[in-house]
Amino acid sequence: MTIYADIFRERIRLDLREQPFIASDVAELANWFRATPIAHPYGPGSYPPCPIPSYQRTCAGPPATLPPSEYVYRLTNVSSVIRTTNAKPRYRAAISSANFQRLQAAQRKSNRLWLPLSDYVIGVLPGRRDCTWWTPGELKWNPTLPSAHKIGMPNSWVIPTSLLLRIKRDDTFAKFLARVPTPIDAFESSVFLAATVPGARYGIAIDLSDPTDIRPGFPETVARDIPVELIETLPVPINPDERDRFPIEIMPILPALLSYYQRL
Amino acid sequence: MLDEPIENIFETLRTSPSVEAWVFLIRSAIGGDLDDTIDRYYGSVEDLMHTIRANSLHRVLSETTFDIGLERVVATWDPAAVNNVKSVEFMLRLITAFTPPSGFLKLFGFVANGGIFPSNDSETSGSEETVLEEFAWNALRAYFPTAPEAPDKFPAFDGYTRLLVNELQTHKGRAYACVRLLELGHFKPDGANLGEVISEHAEQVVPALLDWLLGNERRDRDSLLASLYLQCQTSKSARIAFQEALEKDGGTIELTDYRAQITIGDGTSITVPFAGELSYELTKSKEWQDLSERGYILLNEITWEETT
Repeated sequence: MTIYADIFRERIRLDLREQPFIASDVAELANWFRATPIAHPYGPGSYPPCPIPSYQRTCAGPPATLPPSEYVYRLTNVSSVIRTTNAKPRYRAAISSANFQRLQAAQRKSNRLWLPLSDYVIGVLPGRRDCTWWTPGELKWNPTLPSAHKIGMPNSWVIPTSLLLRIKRDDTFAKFLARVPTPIDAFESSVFLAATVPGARYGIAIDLSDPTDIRPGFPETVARDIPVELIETLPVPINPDERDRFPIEIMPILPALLSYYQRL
Repeated sequence: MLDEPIENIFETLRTSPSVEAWVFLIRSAIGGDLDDTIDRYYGSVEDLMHTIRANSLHRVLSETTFDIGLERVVATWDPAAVNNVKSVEFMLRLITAFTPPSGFLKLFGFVANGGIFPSNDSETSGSEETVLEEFAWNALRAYFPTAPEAPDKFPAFDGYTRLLVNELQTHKGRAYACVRLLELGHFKPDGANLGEVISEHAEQVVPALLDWLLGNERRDRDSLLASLYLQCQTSKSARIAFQEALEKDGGTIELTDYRAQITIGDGTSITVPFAGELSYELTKSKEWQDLSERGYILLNEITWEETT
């Protein structure tokens, strides 16, 4: 049994305890994954298309009431944005570095730090399984990795051509009701702590900054189908020096993460 | 190493990269064994590779062994024998991003021999095939983003430009080929070759040329745009195509005596002065929109250097 399988077992235990309203969906999904060749949804690999309806039942948690902030932020990358939205033709068949360089060039030319995402893609930002993750905690961009760690992202998941996205929290944003994340939303992630429902007003990410002291991190929420017109983007190159300065990787941190789950 | 479960391969590459480990990872990715991982965290196969290389404890060794491993995989790749769309797309992305030596010849041979890319579904075959073709042309472009210093010393470059010239004869490839031939300097901005293609296929090539110019940050963009504008005065369809493509990108053209003022979507304004007889004619008639055939004859005598 690998450590991922142990983490999967602990995650399911906590998921069922903290959010019993969704227990049957979680159990059904967990049983399906256990029957696949890799036995869990974490780590490198691929599994067959999941036929369980609850797999797609994302953003089904209670409405979130986030702590005050001017913006909500998301850390992603240029390939994910181009691939999951309707990219304008000139970006469609280009590799990530070419699209990233175009963003940086546009940034230089416009003398603006943040660019309108709608200059590059149209429609809504669907995300994987129609769900995107956001935090009201300010994600810094220079350096970026410490902020990534506070939302539960180790360096292994942060690519060199990353993008920060942000949405201003005003009346328009309020229409796109953000939700408390559920274990279904986070089913494929080894790094997730289910907020207690009922009761929780938002989710809390796991802060990976210190492997000897895994702890709660930034508030987090999930949303779907946000129009790209509401989103601004900032290209953030993650250079090797930054990785050396903040070396948090997924595999070395798994034992500490498992221990954290076991203590809860 | 090859007996290891795939979930350990990232850590192996981080701590002790080797050619064998990279070959295993690249083949796993091409074979679809990492689809969910790529989809979840990286968005593209090239970003998966970039990230693992960047996270390595031995970065130089990681990059060196990756280059050797990718070359090994590409050298044994036969695009004609692959019938999986995603697999082909992944390989084309890797070739574009990392330009392994074998990649150019593999693709050049495939494209020059009229190879047809696969499609998964008959209903979407057209679009999938087209996107793969775009990726293939982008991959070839990665080897010659610009013309080499001494083109005649590069037989591959000569073959590539001949392939592009041949593509001018095809409906599907004409616009892309025209853009690339201009980008490589094979077409002069004010040359007769470009003018001929524009006048015969304006609706197809002019939007592509403008899209290329407006979507890139070339230092000579403004002068190229001015030359293209003048080239487009050779026919009514070219003029309309230029204007429509410009307006689609948020730009405008304002015509006055002696010059055209082109404003592009980002607010940059470019003045295109007219010279010689054309200015005289314009001053006399003040009917720029109706220059028609008379304008065509006059404009053929103008070069961009003269107007500037």
